[in-house]
Amino acid sequence: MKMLWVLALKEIRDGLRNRWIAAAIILLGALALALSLLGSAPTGSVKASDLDITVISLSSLSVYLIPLIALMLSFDSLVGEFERGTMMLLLTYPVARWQVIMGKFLGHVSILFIAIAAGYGGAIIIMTVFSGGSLDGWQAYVAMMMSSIVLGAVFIALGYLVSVLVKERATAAGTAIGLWLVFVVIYDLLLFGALLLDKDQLINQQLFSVLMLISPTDSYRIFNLSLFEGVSNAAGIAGIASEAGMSAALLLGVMSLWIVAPLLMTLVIFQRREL
Amino acid sequence: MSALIQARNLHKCYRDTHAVNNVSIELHKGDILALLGPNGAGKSSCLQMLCGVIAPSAGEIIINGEDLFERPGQAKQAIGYLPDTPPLYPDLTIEEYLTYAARLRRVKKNQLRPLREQAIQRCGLTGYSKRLIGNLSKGYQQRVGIAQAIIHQPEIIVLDEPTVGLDPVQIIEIRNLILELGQQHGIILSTHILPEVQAVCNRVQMIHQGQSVINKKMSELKKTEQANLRLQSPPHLESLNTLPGVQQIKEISPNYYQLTGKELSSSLAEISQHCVNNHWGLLELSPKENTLEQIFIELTSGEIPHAPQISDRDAA
Repeated sequence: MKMLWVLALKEIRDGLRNRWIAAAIILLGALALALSLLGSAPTGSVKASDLDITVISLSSLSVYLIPLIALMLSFDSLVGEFERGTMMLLLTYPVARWQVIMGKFLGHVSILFIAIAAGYGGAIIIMTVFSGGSLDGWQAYVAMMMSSIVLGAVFIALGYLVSVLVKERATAAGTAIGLWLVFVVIYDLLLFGALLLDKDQLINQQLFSVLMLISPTDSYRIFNLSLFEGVSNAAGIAGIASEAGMSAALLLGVMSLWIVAPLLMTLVIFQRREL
Repeated sequence: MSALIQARNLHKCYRDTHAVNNVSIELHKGDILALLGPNGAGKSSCLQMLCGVIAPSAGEIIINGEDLFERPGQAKQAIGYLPDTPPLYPDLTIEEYLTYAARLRRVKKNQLRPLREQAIQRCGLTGYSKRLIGNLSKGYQQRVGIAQAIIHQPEIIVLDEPTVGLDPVQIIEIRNLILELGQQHGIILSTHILPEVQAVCNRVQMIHQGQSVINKKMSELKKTEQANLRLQSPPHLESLNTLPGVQQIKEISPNYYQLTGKELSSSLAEISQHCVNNHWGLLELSPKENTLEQIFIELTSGEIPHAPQISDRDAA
């Protein structure tokens, strides 16, 4: 465990030095504040709390932003070290290959945790102060923060898989952007396109739910928009998740699988890779 | 005395290429072993196998009494490695980088600071420890590379081309450092610079086409194996074949011969006595010293008959 922390701390230090963490905190904090201030207008008419409305807006934006930040953190973490030769030197140290991967993962998830905790967490404190101490709907907000970290971990793991599969950083960058487009934009477009074309209604609700669950970004959306009453009422999708049998555990389980599977694949490929 | 490195019958195959073919390497404390060979000979593969970066297709590696494959953590702890161009982290300061390297080398917390300072001082980096590595000259980056290799005071130090790209003053400093380190550690030095080998190494192992073609002490290598002989009234060539210690005689010009023998240097007195006793008119008997360069060219210019190929599957 000590070795994992040594490797993780190196990544965190790099994140601090390269202003990565600072940039992410400012970006996430500014977004959370802007959305909470601009998005609080309809709260009177739909009887939802400020935080519920903020969760809806933020989770919709986070679905784009968090994967992008995670992929940018992770896409070159292995291929970059292969290119620079630092990986070869690292492997002459008494460090196992799985420790290298898990140490980096721990470090990158910590960076994301710091950014989300400071960015979104800082915003909620400011909002609470401005709204006179009201914390209605804080559970949904905290759940959104936690699930954002899980979503980030999914894309960090996917970034590693890309990073171990390719031979050049440029290829890794291109592939990471492609991956982001597929999971964040194209998959949903294809899904809705298929629904529109499905005149014989072959895609029933159950199949549609499964297809939604396959995507980690959709699991994240459903988790944040439909599991808390205030949020789901305000978002107009109350009861959808429970009707489709999607519990919080199932949604988090699916996202966890998206972390474990790419990480395991990365480990297996890295173990077999000749430097 | 037990060996620091005992690598036996190493093979490394990459698909169609048999990069390392039955090479054995042994290193003892106080050895500064030069690993020589032309580009693509298999030196780097050997070094990477010894350092545990790549697995051999066949063979056994014992590092400081620990099997590298059974107990890689313990075995690697005994090695410090400097690759040819030191792959460093430009965004870290020297101090941060050495701290990182020491922690990965499992240096205890209370020993970290003194060992780091010692490495900094030994590598001539005093006063630079707060500088970013990316801002250092190549020579100083090389020193940082050596510092990370010695920070945990390993029994074995593996240096791959440690003086490439350095200016003459830096080269001398690094050579002196290697000599100093060689008193307490076992060192493997891979280089193309043959005068450097003669200046610092006490053993030489040459790799050619994946095979070990020579593995000798430097003193043995320098031993005279050839001598020139000039006689006033020489006998027939067959009679000269009876000269003690001589295995081969070649007539270079009339009355002038080149003698070759395995331990010729110890036989020179007997040869001269033999010539005098037989009244051949000894005019000259001059030992001809072999330079490393000559040996290198002789041993690496020809094709080596290939041993049977071993595939990864066979080796496994």
